[in-house]
Amino acid sequence: MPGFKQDLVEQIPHLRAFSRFLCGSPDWADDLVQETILRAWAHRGSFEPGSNLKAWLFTILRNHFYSEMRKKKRSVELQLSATPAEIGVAAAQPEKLHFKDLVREVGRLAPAQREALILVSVNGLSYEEASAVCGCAVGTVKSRVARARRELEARLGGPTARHVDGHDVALRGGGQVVAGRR
Amino acid sequence: MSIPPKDADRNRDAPAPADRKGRDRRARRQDWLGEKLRDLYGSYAQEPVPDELRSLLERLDDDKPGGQGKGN
Repeated sequence: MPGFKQDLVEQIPHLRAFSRFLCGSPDWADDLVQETILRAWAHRGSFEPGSNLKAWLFTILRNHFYSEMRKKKRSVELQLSATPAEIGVAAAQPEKLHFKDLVREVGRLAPAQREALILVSVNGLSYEEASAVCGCAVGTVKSRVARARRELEARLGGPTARHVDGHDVALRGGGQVVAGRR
Repeated sequence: MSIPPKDADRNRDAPAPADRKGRDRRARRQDWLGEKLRDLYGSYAQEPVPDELRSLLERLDDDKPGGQGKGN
């Protein structure tokens, strides 16, 4: 399958980022990516040219991730320490940041919500493509994305910090969520 | 007084002010969170590829094109 390796190499940044969101640990994320590459290469004959390679690779990666989770009962709490890359982005965009807050709150989401959010809201996969990757119904993906967004917005104090479950919600310094009856 | 056809069409197609506000608010909200997530995702994607991964990719060259590579 000519060109498959090149296509695979081009997806590596996406694989590493998706993996990082899933498991939180840079080392574990790269282990998952390595295994994904090996499996994809071994089974490249089963990939249909013209279909979505990124979605196919993400499927391999997330299946391996959950398999490891089951075997090792590893925690998926994302690491709170910012990497040099995160610090670099924060320094370049000081008005936005709080990557540490974002990493922490993304890490608090259920893994299923986290992956749905990243597949749809960051990678731009359709709900149908994301449902194929996650092995669940389209409606389930939609509800996971919506719930993940609501939770993150409430915890991070974004534009919809109000009106969460009938409470006004705001974020204090240090990331503490404060709720009060409306 | 009857509404001229042009205005009638415009009124029929345009969302009610409350709907429009809600839609704008949702769009802003999605951009806000999506932008933050994409920034973080981008920072992960741009991290240097570790040597182990580079080495693995080089080893893939050892396989014959179109074959079923190692690990099968």
